[in-house]
Amino acid sequence: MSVDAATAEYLVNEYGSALYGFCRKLTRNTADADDLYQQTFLRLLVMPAAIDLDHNPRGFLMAVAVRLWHDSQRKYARRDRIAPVHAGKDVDSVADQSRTSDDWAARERQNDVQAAVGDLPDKLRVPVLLYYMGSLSTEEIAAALHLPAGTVKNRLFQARQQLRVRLEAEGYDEARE
Amino acid sequence: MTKHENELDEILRRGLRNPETPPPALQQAVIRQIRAYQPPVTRQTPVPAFLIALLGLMQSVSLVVFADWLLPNTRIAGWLIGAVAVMAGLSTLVSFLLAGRVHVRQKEGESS
Repeated sequence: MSVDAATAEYLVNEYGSALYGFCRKLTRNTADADDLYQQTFLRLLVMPAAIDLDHNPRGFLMAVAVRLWHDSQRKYARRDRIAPVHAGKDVDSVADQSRTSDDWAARERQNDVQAAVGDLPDKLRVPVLLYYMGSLSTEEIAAALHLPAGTVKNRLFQARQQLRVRLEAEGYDEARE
Repeated sequence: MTKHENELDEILRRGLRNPETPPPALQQAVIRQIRAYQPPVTRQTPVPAFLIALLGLMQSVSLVVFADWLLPNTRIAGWLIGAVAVMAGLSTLVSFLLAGRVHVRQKEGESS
């Protein structure tokens, strides 16, 4: 059965930051991310499926967000055509607000990884975000995206290959084979 | 999974898993909407499913009796009544099965 208001509020407080980061990376646009963030929590109140708080609720929320995003992608695409928003800059400018100069190098690395992932085509990018941010299994991602599990595995493999090449080019020794 | 793949996974995980605090106004708006949300009142079934199935059973019996009254003691009537009785029996059985299913679902809904 659907999630009650108290549980939804708990999820907002507990996983809001993780979901918001996910929404921003998914939509690559602050306005759309804000919209998707709200819609995800409101969807919880009306959706028939219950959330298992003991089994990766963060991943569950991200899967819900992805489904909503897919449903409304046409709307986002239309908005992007009318008023294009550059992916990285919009997201980074807000993300930088909470940053200090102490861990600049680590954040540079984060930016590089996020930019590399952000440049992937959607069909590779979305599984990557669900896998690494939501810790969802390939089967769970397949269910969220309505795809066969083999397709998801293949897309994750392709994404890793592309990311490895890109990160190697940017000097990531760890990504080297 | 090889060591290199694990390392790449770790780089990606570290790079992507940075939580971003939602703007306070957005957070407040979400919480306000959640608190204001009124769950839709579940519409009660006006007539219980078992009563509908029972009415169906009575209708089927009356149909068989009517067929017998209309065409008494003929071969065709015998076949017709048999066919009607079988169909009525099947539809009644299905009605009761569906009624049982609805009943179980309602119970599950109440318990969760």
